[in-house]
Amino acid sequence: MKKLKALQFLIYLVFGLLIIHDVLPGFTRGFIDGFRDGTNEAHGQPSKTQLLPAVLKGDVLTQRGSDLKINGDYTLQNIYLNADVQLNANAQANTLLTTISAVLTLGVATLLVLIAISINKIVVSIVNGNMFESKSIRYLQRIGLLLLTYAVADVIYQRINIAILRDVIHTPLHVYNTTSFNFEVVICAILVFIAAEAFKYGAQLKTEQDLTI
Amino acid sequence: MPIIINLDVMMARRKMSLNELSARVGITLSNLSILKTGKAKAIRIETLEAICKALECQPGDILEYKD
Repeated sequence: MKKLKALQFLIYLVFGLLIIHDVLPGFTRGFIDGFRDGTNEAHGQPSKTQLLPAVLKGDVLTQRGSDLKINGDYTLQNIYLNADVQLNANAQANTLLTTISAVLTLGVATLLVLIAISINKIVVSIVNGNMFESKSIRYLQRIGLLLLTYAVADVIYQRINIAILRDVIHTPLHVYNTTSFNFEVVICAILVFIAAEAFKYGAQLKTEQDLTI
Repeated sequence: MPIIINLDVMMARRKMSLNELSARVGITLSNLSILKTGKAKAIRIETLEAICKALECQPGDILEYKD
């Protein structure tokens, strides 16, 4: 019962954090944009100005005569793009961080390979009709643990790579991705653990069935 | 388990081998062995009926409860 409660709590926690991570920033952005659209009125009437898409794809930019246009409505003139990102040619990346990054790259690759091997073994057991055996359940539990390890290793890997890049690249804009945790992988791991529990129950039923004469 | 299977006793009384009983009852030797050694979790009524018919005995002759 305690295990069930802990699992339920974990599911709600992960989904809550996922909502904060993925949905809340978009929601806030949408609210701000909507507020701006509402205030963008001329003489009390909504503006007929077509809104620019948030992301401009290459095909919306057209060249008509000497003017560069967006969607045929906006003419781009006197625009300066200020790419204020400089590469510090003299800077050297921290050797320790680079080494850790290399080790983590190998570690993450190894984790992915181990996950693939375990999935492969489960597929083999399904094909052989041994899916409801303790071996398959152990593989499922191992996949869950490996996925959790992968999620943690991925965050550390990203942090170290950002630290390495900060040494080499000078950026006036400080963008910190504080929520780069891979929640989707954690949800997958939880689902795998649930599947393992279901398989465990299935294995019990199969044993009883096998021993019923 | 307090339920004891006296299948081997009845087989000895009827002088019947495991192979012969297996053929008469229509269950495999391995399943009969599981039943004989007391490893079985459950026994179907139809299996019990077939065993009783083959050994010409009552269910109580095969199954015994000991506390």
